[in-house]
Amino acid sequence: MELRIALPKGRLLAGAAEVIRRGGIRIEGYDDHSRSYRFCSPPFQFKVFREKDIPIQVAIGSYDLGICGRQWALELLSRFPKSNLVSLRSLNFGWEEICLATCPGTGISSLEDLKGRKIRIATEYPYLAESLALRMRLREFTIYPLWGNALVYPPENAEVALTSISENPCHLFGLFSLARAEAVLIANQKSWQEKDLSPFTSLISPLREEVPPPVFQNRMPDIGEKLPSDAIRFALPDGHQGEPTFELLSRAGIHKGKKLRGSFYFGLTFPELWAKVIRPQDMPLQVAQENFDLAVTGEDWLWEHKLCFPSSPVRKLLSFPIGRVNICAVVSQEVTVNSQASLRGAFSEFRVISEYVNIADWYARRNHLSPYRVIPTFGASESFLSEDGDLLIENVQTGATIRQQNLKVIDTLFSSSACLIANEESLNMKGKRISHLVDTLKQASEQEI
Amino acid sequence: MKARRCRGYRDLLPQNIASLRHIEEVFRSSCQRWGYEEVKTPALEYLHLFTSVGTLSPDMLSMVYSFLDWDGWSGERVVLRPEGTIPIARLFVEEGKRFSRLFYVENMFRFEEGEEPREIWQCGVELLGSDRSESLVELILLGREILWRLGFEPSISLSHTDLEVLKDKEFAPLFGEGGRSHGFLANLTSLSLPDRAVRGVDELKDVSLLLDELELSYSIDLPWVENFEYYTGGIFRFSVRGRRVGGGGRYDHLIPLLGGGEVPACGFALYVDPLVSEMKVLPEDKKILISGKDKKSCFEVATRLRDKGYTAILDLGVTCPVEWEMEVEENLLHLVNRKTTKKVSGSLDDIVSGIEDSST
Repeated sequence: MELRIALPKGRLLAGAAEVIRRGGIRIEGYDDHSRSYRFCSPPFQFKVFREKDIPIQVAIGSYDLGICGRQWALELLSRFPKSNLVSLRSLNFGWEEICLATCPGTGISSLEDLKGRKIRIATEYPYLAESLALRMRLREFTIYPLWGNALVYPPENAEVALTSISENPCHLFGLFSLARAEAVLIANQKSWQEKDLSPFTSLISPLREEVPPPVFQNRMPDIGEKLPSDAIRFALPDGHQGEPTFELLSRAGIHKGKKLRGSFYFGLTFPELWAKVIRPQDMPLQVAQENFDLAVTGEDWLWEHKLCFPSSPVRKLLSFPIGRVNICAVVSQEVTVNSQASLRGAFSEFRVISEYVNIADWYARRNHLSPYRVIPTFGASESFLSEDGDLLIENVQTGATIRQQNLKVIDTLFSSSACLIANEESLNMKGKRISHLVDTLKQASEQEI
Repeated sequence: MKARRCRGYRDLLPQNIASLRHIEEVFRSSCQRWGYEEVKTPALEYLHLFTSVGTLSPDMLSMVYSFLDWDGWSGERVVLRPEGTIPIARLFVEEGKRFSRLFYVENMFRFEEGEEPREIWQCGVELLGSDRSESLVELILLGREILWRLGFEPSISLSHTDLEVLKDKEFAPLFGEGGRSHGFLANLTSLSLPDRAVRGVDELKDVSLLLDELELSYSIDLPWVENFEYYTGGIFRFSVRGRRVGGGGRYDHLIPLLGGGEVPACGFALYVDPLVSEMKVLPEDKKILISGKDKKSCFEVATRLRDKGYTAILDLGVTCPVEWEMEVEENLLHLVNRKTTKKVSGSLDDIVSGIEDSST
């Protein structure tokens, strides 16, 4: 009997590969350099996902078994406790701690300080954070669900971060350790009850003998430096958009300056301009909430945000000739659909896969796809087609990955490039200084053309 | 694609609506006779309203439908109203505390596992501003009156949140099947009870004394829930044939927590779902299905029948559950009872007499 197993990319890949190798199962090419998502070693069918996607895929029954961090199973179960998910065993590698942390500038030094005041919680685990906030009976809280690392948010952009750490971050103060989390073997509950999974589970054993010591510390660090009150707070992108953005700034004569002690803010060689590096996906919401005055994000993420919050006070000021991608509708080459016009009725039930949940939803509604459901992913979305999805809404740069994965573009929704966004209130309050920066960046971006 | 309704949600069919409306009308008229005024609160409230009071349990809060509204970029979540009292307390504070007796009929939304209903209807009453013991008695009497008028003989159970401390092995047997009078509370105070329990018993004494004087039967029990949410004092519940159909109590801390100052309050809600299922079938209206070649005459006859208080339905070829059928033939009307096959022919007055005769 075939067993379907979901394996992780990223930080857990090496450990998962080692666990499988020790079990005597050979999978050629499951390594950091591989661009393949599917591996076969009868009777096992393996597929590679982002770690965060694995509990969802196992719970919905697309896979019998999976290896992922315990925290992602907890995240799913904290919102959907009846999910069809069973944690079978610890694999004793990839240890992290999920903790609630803050830093000196927030005025918080204990859990008691969280009660009775407005608390912003930055986190990659929004469901765990909500459940924790309710259990702690926090009276007024806002949760920032993040794509990027929550550690960079306190003290300026959030009072606390609920995040996972593998080493103690020096600028943060741990308030509470929610759980220690490591790689675990998980199973779909129905498969576990009805299917013989032992050909795989009997071969899998924990990687190490001993559990590493905890890293969580509640040692109060020194008070850091405060961001000047008249600062223009600028969010700059990490990842592949980071380098071209810094090149653009450099052409504008703006370079990195001194780092703010006890913070992730750093100065820029432009009057009163201070920057922090965060994930472009998180920027529109952060700018809307006045956590930043300005940000360089992608037009794709701005559109995604505006579809969810049409009245958001975020305004696009400039487009840059960098980070250009097309947002496309993509299907498997195996299906007969070749255009947007022939999409309707092509599938009995559309499983629309995308990192852009709101854009995917908008596209499905606009094209009268029925019935449809949007399955959110956290990257490597192209791997979902065609076993785990029918239609993909994805950014396409050259199209090489799409072709390599045996997929085809059937519609281009729009073209996106990097852009400068601002909060409307910031424009009112700091308009003159911001327009000076905008002029400088505009000149630099035109130079490139 | 097969169209289907959401899991945990129900369509209310004509017979359900008839029962719901009947309960609503009885409830509304009783409340109005006692001086209560009707309000409706929005289906959406800020989540903050329910977390800020700190009185809803995390279990309850984890069952609310919360989401970000279209302008929720600030991160402020909204919820589908999970219960009725906190929104009323919010309304009371927001409207300058100018009301004292309010009632509502509203639907509440809570996530329940499996096939349990996730949308429930409640008829609620809130008495704001009074700390007198007779406030609770007023609510108990009002609730009992409504249930009586609906044809039920409710049993009433009385307790106090502070009696929670007696739910252990030593004291629990003292309650047995429940106390039946003010004397039972006096008996309890003759024992060495924990201070908190003594306070609870003292507060219940005045309520039970007045109920005794009014010759109302009730039982005094240990508190029936683990988590009181916002209740802070005397609590009561109504049951019909062993099934809980309503309950309420005193919640003196809620309005202060919402920034409304020291305003004591109490209230109760009747649960529509168990009441509907316990109700006997309501009598159906007399319905007459009208057919005939002369469409104009059919419309005219139907109008005249409606003027006389009948439900007149024109036969458009669709299914109609009716008792009587009428054929309009120029100046002659033919009536037949579908069940008894009794036939009457003649003028409209003849027909009406025929229907009346058959119902007597």
